[in-house]
Amino acid sequence: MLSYLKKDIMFSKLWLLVSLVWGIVCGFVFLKEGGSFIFVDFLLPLFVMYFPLSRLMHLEDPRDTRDFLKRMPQSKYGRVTARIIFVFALLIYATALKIGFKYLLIEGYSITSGMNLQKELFYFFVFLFLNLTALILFYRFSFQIAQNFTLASYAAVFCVAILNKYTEYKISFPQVNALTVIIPGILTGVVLVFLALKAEQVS
Amino acid sequence: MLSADLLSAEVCITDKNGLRDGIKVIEVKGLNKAYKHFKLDNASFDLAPGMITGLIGANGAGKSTILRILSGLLKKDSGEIIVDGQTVSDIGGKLRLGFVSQELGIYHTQKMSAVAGFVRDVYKESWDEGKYEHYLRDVFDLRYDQKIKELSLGMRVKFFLAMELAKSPECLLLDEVTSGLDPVIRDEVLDILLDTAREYDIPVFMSSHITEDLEKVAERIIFIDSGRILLCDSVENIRKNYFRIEEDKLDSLDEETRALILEKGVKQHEYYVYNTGIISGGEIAGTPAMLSDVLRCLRKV
Repeated sequence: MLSYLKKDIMFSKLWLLVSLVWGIVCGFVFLKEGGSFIFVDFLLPLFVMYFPLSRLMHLEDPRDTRDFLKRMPQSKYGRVTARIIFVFALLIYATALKIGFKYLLIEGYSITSGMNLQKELFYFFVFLFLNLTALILFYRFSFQIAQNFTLASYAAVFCVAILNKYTEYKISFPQVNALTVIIPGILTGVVLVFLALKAEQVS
Repeated sequence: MLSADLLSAEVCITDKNGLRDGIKVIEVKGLNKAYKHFKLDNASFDLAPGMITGLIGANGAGKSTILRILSGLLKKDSGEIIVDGQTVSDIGGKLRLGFVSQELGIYHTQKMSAVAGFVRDVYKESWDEGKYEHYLRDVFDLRYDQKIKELSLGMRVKFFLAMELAKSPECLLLDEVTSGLDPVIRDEVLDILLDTAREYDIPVFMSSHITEDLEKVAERIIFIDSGRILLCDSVENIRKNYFRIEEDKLDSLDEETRALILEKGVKQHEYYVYNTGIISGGEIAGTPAMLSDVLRCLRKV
């Protein structure tokens, strides 16, 4: 499994670098803009995850590459688990960067309102679910279907975010127990991980 | 019109005569796989160590289906794959498998060293770096670390073959690897396959619709058409059992033999292909038939 994780890193290293730079640029723009949500809550995790993942899915989409991987001694569970770990790592990097920049903003600009843990967890799980679903679609069908889903869902998230920002329609993140987000989040995550592991078929 | 007599005893599903000392590593029994418009029908054969077995058939005959089932890429509907006496779902479950197919666009934007590095990591226990370097640099003359997409088809075949051989495979499956290669590279690849089978004493199973390639290296041949195995025998037996005779030389034969060849042989262009079994005690005239003649002959049944 480590070989596959190493391969994912090696084969997407250029895009991982782009993601790294993108995350930092987004963060600084966020600071410069004085806390514009769109850069850190949406654009940062979106592209940090999209660049390397879509690169890998594109590389491994042709039938001969899928067959090449299937013939290897590692089971499909090992291969897919390596990819899920890769998704988690990217998401944790994006979230850590986001929280870091928000912390800088709060400290630097002496903003009194603290971070909303429920909101951060909500975004974390939304991006996790979207990317795990894209993985399921990739393993079950093709990169094209996974990419269409990703772009369509990001467009939907973007629209909701804009509505949230500029209209009276608001998604509120009440200060409730974090477990109310974590428990359904983890349960849904487990179901999606299970579906991702089962998605690949031998015809 | 070809009668069933032409094939007589030579039409067999499994013929152990072609096996060296009867040793077989892999037995395939009654393999079936049905699609909407194609059915692999009860395919049975053996693969022996140190021997190249050729799988000949036209496009769509079922060659790739058999290889994909053996390598675990396809699920069989029924049938058995037995490796060293143990039933397995695919060969890879028991033996370290080397597989090269004609589709070689794998990780096309990556450099050869990156792809080889990944395969080396996965097969680290069996990977032989010396062998890989030897095949890559000395035998195949691939000296530069290029991206896969920058390699010609012949170079890709060589690169993937070098990787598969470096894995120290216990069985090598090759799906139309020589298609699309120029004659010089084809000969080089065939020589290496022959050396590999003999030196490492592993079974090599190679599909092709280029019968000349298999004529050069294979010891046993399996003819397949429309999902059915028509013949499975050693090349030696096939050469002994199938002859071709020019049409204008038929007159020089005795009356009975000529009548038998005209009745039971298969006409191809300006010659007849026939099974020597139809001539009992008579003169066997002509020259051994080419594999392509035998295939055409069998397909007409």
